[in-house]
Amino acid sequence: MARSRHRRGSGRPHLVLRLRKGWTYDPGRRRFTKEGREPVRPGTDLPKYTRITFQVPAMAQRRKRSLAEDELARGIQIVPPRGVSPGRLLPRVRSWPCVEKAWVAPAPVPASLSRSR
Amino acid sequence: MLIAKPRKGKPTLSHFKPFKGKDYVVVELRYDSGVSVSAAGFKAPSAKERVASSLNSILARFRVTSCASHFGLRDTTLRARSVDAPSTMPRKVPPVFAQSGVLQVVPRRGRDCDELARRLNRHGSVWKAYKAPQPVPAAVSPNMEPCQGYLCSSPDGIGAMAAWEYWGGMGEGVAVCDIEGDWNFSHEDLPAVTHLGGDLLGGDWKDHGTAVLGEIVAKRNGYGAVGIAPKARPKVHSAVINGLWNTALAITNAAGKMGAGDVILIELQGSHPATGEYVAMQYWDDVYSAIKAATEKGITVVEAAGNGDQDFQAAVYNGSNLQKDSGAIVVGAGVPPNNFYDHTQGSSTRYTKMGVPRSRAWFSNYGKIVNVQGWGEHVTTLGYGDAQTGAQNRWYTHRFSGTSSASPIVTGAVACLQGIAMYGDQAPLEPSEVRKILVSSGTPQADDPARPKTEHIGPLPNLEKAITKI
Repeated sequence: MARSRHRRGSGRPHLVLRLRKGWTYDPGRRRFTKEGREPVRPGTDLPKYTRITFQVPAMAQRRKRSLAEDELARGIQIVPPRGVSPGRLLPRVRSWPCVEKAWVAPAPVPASLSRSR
Repeated sequence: MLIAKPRKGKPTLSHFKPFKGKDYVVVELRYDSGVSVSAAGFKAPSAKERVASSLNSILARFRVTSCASHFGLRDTTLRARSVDAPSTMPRKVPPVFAQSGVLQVVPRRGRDCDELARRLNRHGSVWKAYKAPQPVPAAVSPNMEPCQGYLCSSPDGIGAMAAWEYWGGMGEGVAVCDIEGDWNFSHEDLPAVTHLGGDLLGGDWKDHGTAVLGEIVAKRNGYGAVGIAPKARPKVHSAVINGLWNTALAITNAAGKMGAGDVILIELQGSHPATGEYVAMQYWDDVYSAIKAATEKGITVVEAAGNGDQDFQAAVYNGSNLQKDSGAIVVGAGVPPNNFYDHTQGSSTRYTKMGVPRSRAWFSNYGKIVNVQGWGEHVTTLGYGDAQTGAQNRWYTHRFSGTSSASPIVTGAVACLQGIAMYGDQAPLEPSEVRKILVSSGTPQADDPARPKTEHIGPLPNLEKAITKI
């Protein structure tokens, strides 16, 4: 199998999670909330300086959304500090009640074959 | 409903568009002619008046609009020539004297130049007369269009040249956005490219992105390559945003800046977490949702199937997005008509057969979601520098490959189709319609003993047939 020679790791390794329906992220208070449910505070489960952001911020703010857009709006990025493998955090993140799915973000490469000039 | 009208004439290879100056004749007078030139025509002292008037009668026949020194010399210098005309050839000709005998004669009709030159050449006072050439840049890259077999008609190519005969068939009015890592925006054969956002990664990404854009929008200028939809508007978005891979956001951002009828191309593949093999990007839920949202907006998304040699129907992929319809046109790599693969290692090259043309290329992923194929090898386009080295802005390749080379072929076909469909303010085709047309009109996948057509990658688009289904 010919592997691409393109550099991996140009993007920082991180986790992507999809929140369960009804849950949202409150960046000001750094917690996941849902009406009538106890908020999920990820602080203790994650190393210091871990960044949590919406994956598609504009979509999260949109009120009227299609099904696909709603799924995008529930996407969250969890970026651990340098030196911490995101894979290590995966089991803890998956255990949060607000999480539908979580995975390590892929580091894609171009879909061409490796050739020398 | 076929709303497009064929253009006049037959498909032709593109031509370099030089600056079109007025045609004229350059006249070199004999040293002893004794005539000079003015804006009104030839002049001479009384002794040589007959010579001047016979030359003027030739000019009159061709309704010459202007007559002047070819070297822009002043009238006084030119007049001196007729006075100083020596009776014998001087040993050393002063440069000004030599230049004063070279004239520029512009007939009203450019097509008369050859005849005017012929008449002047027959005159005893004229040493030489010839039509001035219309030069083109000497250091121009060779025309690689003849190597771009994928432009040709079915069964070898996708029939792009036939699509160009239709109004809108060059992708006019269609924006195409390539999503990957980097591009050479200064390449001589690329039109102005809009960078919609994301971080540029440099390195080999630059060549990759340039090669992809070249297949779709390389300028039709008679040198280098030509794109399948050379009049489409190229846009790009890097999949790395603020230092993080975020293909879903790149697709969403691009879709936000595009409209119905436009095309997004995902030129990436990712390693499957369990098998480690390359799979299509829609495997990941966020990318799948982003593709769905874009196609809901009427944007056709074209996606590389990936080079993992994987069967998406395999049990390991059960329940994953590789078995679901995202709305994208997923592109596999097919064997091109020139059926060999060269394994170049340094200076040595050995060849192996790739298989039956239009059968699945050995590396291409396959399965039900793979809709159509493109050439997976030997694609001539911009970048890399194996076909032409030198300055990076003039690099070309004959060897772009993978589902990466296949997907832009399909993207170009989509842009041609949408351009034709939208010509004259008509509504664009729905992404699902585009896919249906390409699949139903394409040249079927071929069977190969090693890779049967049950390993589904779909047909090679055939624009000649597809256009009739709009």
